[in-house]
Amino acid sequence: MSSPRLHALLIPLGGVTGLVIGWWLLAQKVPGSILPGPGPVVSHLAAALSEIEIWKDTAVTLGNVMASFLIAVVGGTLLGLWASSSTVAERLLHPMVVVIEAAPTIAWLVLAILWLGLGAGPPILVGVSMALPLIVIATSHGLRQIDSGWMDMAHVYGLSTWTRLTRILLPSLALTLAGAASGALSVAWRGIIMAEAFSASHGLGPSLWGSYLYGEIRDVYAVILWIILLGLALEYLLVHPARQLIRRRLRHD
Amino acid sequence: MTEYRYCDLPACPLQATTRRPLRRLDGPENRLLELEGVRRAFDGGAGVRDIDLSVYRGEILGICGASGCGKSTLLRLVADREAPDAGRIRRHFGRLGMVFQEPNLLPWLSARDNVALVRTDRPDESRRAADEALAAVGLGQASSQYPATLSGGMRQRVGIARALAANPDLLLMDEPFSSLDYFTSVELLELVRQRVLERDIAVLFVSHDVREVARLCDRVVVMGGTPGRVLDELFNPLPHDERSCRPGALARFEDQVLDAIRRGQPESATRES
Repeated sequence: MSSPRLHALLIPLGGVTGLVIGWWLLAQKVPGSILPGPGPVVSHLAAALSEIEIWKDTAVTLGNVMASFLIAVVGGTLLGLWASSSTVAERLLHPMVVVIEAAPTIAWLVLAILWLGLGAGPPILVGVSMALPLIVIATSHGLRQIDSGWMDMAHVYGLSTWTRLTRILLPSLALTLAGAASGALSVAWRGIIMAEAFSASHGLGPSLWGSYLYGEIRDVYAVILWIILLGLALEYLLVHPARQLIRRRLRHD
Repeated sequence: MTEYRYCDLPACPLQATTRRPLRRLDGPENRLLELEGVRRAFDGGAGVRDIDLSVYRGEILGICGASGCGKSTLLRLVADREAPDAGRIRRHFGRLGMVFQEPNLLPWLSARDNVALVRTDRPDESRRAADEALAAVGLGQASSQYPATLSGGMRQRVGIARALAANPDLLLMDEPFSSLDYFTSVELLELVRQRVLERDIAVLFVSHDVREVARLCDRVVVMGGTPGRVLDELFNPLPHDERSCRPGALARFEDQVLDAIRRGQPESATRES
């Protein structure tokens, strides 16, 4: 393995190791009912992973995350395109985005339970409410950054709206959107688990909250560790490679 | 691509390829573009004013002038990227092509796809037209390369290929050769000239390089002032096929163009130059 690649791997590993050592040291000072050490938590998680329940909960949560992520990306991109199409549309949309951003997550959750009842609806709506503004803003900002020379070229050669959209606008936006999508996935992930805890009977959120209510502290930490590992897997196995792929496809440098 | 050699000899090899002299096709049916009293003003005084101009099939019209005299604004008005504040622009052409100062290539498309982009109305023909146009500018072997792997000059040639592939009736060229070396620009000048000959298109050629303008253009409009206006209109006394072979006469025409540009500059600027 070449030296730069080795460095790229070793430095994050060093960070994780430091975190685990810090956790272990802290666990020596704090009662196990508040902070169990990494060893018991990991072994507890390993045991949990051998049971089907945690995989079912994981599938439910990932399904909610993906549903809200897709709605946010498609809806946010369309709204961003619309906002950039005219000043009126932009002025109309801007306060709505600010309202969505400004309302706290718990407010969205309460409203979602009122509107949709208990179940998968509220977590998905909370995820969308957190992710959508990021995508709208990124799309709108990305469109403003598009090289005016490309639009001059498109105008002179009379390129159709479809050609402009598929050959110029969306490829130009892809990099900006990839960055925003990473952030959107992260906030949707956190918001959905919180929303699930209060509004759903299945998923990692209820599993975490239920463990707390029953005083199963090792379960609480095991589920938190699992959520963190899943988040890291999403980032490093899905989002990061996708971003790299887009960068290579778009720049060719 | 046509073999082109600059020479001073009367029996110039160019004559074999450009025997037919370029000629303007007069008459209202051949008028592709009319500008009447066009004015476009920007903050700070820049822009153009009182522009009256007609462009006919089969002619290469040069627009020349000092920096900031509104040459590029004039092209943007013709290309409908700016709207005039006053006056009227009548467009009687079907297809428009443009070679920009920067080639404006899409980095995620290959050279071929960048060129084929302008023919999406005929997808069956677009790749063939793109390959032909790239071969014409000497980039037949580079058609699958992406802009990031091409030199600045090669990118500009892709931009020229794109304009040719569009099969335009009117071709706008905004300082198209500024990033090219001398020999490449001479080759491409010849290519443009041949395209005008073959298809009776018209070219509106903006450049600050008087030598290029004199070599390529049949008629030269000299602009100057702020906002820019037409100061003079000069006709190239040399037929196309003699321009390479009579450098003395060509140099005299260049001097005439230069004099006209100098007359349009403020006195202080002329003294400085």
